[in-house]
Amino acid sequence: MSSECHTGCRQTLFCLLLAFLRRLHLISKSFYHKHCACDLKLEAISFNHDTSSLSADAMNLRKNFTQTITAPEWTLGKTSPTDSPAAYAIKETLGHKITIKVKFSVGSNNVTKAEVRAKGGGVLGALDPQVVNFAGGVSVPAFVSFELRHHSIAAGIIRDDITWNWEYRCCGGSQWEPLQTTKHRIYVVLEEPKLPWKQQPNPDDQNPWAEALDHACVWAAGKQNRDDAATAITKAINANLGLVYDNASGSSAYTTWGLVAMFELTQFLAYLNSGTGLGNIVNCTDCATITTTFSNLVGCDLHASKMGNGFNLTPFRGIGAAGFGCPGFGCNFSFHEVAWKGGHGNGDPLFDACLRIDGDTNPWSAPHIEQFPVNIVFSTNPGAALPLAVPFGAQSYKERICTNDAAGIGSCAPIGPWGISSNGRRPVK
Amino acid sequence: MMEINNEDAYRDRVKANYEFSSWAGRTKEGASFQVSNFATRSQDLEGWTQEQSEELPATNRQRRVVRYVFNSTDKRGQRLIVTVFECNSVEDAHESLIDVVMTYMAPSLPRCETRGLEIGDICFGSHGEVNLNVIFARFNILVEVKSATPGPTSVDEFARSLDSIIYSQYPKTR
Repeated sequence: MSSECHTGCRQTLFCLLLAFLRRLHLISKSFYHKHCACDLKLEAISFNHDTSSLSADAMNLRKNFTQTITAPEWTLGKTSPTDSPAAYAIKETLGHKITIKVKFSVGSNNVTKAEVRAKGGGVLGALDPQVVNFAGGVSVPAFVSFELRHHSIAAGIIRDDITWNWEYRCCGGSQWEPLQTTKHRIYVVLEEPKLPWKQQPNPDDQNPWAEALDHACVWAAGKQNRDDAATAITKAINANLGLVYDNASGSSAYTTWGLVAMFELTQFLAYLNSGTGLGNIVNCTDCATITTTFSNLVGCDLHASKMGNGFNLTPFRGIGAAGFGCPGFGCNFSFHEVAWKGGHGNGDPLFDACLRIDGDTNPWSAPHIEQFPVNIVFSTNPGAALPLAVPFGAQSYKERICTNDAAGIGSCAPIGPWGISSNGRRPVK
Repeated sequence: MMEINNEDAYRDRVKANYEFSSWAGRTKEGASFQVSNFATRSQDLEGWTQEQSEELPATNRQRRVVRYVFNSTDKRGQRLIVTVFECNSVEDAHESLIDVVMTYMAPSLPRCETRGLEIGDICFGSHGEVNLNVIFARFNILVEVKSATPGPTSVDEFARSLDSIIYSQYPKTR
């Protein structure tokens, strides 16, 4: 490479001439480079360059319970997208200028300027050409802002492995030269994740986990609002993960009941990724916690909350079951736990990944027309005299899971979250 | 929301379902005996390998809680999740048993004796043809054994072996 880097109109014309000759194969590529290029290097890319905000850059993120992620997320030598993750929130970034910050170096101290751009970029879009200044062989400022002018973050939840093909030109060169190919895993969520997930403090083991976003952003891909996202996540948990209900006792596999109840997310991710963890046999607490945790990660605001205590059941299709029926321990729940919106009252909608209810006009007898209980109000008429009349057309959860009598519908009421469950948003471990 | 958010009342209901007063605080022998620093190892349980163990947060009733994952070495390929609660006393072990079964959706569980399994000072099995889950207390130790493998493979054999290890710590010369 040239140690001299000429600039100015004469150099530009000279390089235009060399470019022409190069196209005609009259000069070699290396000859052109020697006179009309520089030894530029892309050193690092920072997505989360402001850990106090998520409106103009990526949010605070960690890999899992034990491993942190710090900016710059990409450094020279990283080749896998999963080694360079970043997450953006639609609501907080809307209307804001979003930037990444990029560090460059150049082989010659004589180089003072270069022009850089990147093609591709998936959801983050291409990067427009921009002049980068150099002093002493490094970019000035060290990390140069590039605005994401062509992103499509607002299009909905996504997990996107993007590739930027970086190009540059310097020293009067008229042709764009390949600089570097970088790969990144980009997550887009609806808004700042809700508890148990936290943005502050940072770092903190309750910062959003990339390994959980790997699943949540796929289950809720394309969704643009909370209800649609929670619905998609609930259905995925119920139907696609191979989970089955604990018919032997209805016990939880993924909850640790100490002084503060925790969700064993590390173990659950091991189950999702390799079929190990703590197995596939779950209960309602597991389903409510999984739904809450993954939905809140993409910006929903659910909490795991109970109903009960002690009520008789009409047949339902338990998670993993082939058809409608009662649990192996009988047609009775000591309590039931679901992912609930609002104040977990009669009029608040809920999401239940643990079972499917009978959605027809007679939920208390066959035939059973299955329906996912998603965004369904707990009870539209909680004080109604029993038994309720058939046909029953209300989209009302309690009436569709309980027997139509005092021991069923009459014994099932909202209770609230477990006392040690951090208001139904169990911390993850 | 109906004002029944009272976990104490729920606890009382669960105790009634499990006839707590008929067995609470009682042991078959060694009422004052306590096991300390209990740990299970693969070599103690023939036919099983320990895949993992993790210390979990304890409550005020417990000194130490450890969760183990065991795999059977035979063709069954059975996988068990075993949680051992070393409690402060026999009474705390029995209250801890209630703490655990309160979180089960089943209103009650059958006594192990009714299903041909006689282990511990108090033991509850599960519903269905075989015991897929068992919870028992022996002295101040509470043990929950759960099958993490789909299919009707009983956990009785493992639970029996583990109870024998706990019981073996009781000095017979007393």
